[in-house]
Amino acid sequence: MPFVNLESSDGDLVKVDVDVIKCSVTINALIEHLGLEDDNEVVPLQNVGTETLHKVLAWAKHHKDDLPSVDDDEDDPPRERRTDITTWDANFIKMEQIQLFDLILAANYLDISGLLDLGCKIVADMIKGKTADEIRTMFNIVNDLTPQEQEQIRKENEWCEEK
Amino acid sequence: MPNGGGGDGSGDSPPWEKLPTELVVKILGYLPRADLLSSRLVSKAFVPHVICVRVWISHFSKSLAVGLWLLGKSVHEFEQDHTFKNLDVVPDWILEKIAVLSVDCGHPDFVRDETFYKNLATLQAKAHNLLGIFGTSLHFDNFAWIIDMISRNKGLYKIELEQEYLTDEEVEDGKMHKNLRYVDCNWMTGCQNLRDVAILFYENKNLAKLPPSLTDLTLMESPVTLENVVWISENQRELRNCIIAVREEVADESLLRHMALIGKPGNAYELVGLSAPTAESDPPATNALPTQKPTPRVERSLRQNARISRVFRLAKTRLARPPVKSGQKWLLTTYKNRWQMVKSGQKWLKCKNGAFCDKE
Repeated sequence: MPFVNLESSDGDLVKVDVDVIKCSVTINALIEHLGLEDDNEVVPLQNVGTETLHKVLAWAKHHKDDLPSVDDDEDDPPRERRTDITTWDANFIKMEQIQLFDLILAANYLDISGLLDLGCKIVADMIKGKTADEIRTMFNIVNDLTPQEQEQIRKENEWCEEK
Repeated sequence: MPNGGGGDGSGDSPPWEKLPTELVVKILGYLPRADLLSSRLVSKAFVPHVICVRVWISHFSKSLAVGLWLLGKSVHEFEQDHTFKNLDVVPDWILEKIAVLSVDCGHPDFVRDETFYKNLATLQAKAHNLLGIFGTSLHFDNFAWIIDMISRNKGLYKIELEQEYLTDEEVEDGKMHKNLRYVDCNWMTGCQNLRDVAILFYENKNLAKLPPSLTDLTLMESPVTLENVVWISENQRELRNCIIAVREEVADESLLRHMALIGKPGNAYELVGLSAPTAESDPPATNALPTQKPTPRVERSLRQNARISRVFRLAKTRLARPPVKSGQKWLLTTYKNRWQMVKSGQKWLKCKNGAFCDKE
């Protein structure tokens, strides 16, 4: 069975079954176009740390036999897309906020749509139903809006709210 | 569920700020409207969407839709419709955010009454941030209003001006527009942001005055001369979707050969499968092929053009979402035949009957 060596940004090498990591469009393209047939070839992943890489691989291993997802239609509003999350994924994604964001960035860099969707849905779930103050606290964001600007946004929002 | 946390406390920028805009937009895409709107109050940069407004004035509605947009891309499901009789009731700060204006005077039931002109005057005075104008039969007062609107909105990205469609029955009855008016491309010279121009069922003048930034150009009803086709190929180098009506004698491969010989556009060699011309075979820089007045046969075909144009409109819709995003497409139409060249990867495919085709 073919393997590929992935090098994390921390300099650690991780040997991976190609079948497991085939969900990554980025790595798949590298393997196909660069002809990485030698088991000793190394693919450097400068944007993915060792801890995050192991999480990505755990997710990829579990979803190895999933059917390829159908490409999203650009015109298909995301709110109408499937939003259910399996129990395994829900347990897998339980992690600190900073790890979650690293995982999302890694999924984006490696172009793993299933993992990226999962991470984004989870963050959206974290935001749902919260006030602006609560979101600021949760994400450690400084409020740089003046009272006048906030009032203007409220007025604008009134024109967008459902009647 | 993940721990909410409060950042890592290390003093670095919060994790949220490390997310690129595309990911923030993807996350926000999963939020219901109320949450997305309230999240605008978090900070200036938290939600990269801005409020934009569309206005429709037509025989069936006068409505104004307010929604969230991202870099010109609307979030349709968040648009909220408001109907109005008079735009005076809309606050100035909403009118200033109008990005898309659609005015349809083409329907027989449409009444251009005092309120209509008052609303147009309000738009003239307040709407100066338009990105797109879609106008049907706006040639009243010899286009004075629309010329003024274009001149006031230098950031326009898309302009579509058309005269009302003829119905199938009208086409079958042989009815055609008796007095085709001119859209003068001179009006658009100052719109350096312009990418998409469609002039339908009007004649056109001064094509060479169009800014050289177009990616989409549709010119129907009025056949484009060879000189103008060559000008387009030489000067509109960003063009990706081109749907133009040309005279029969123009729309054969001799045109493409001519374009190949003058080396413009650069991909014309691929279009006709030629090698790049040698120095000896370089042609003169100009062409002198005469244009002809429409013959009776062409005149007959002209009457069919309205119906054909609908097909083109469909074709254009499909071209707007091509299977090959980076492809360059030219759809040359004649009164008699039409065909298009579609680039798929490195291969040019020739498709007949105006249908978009992704295989040979």
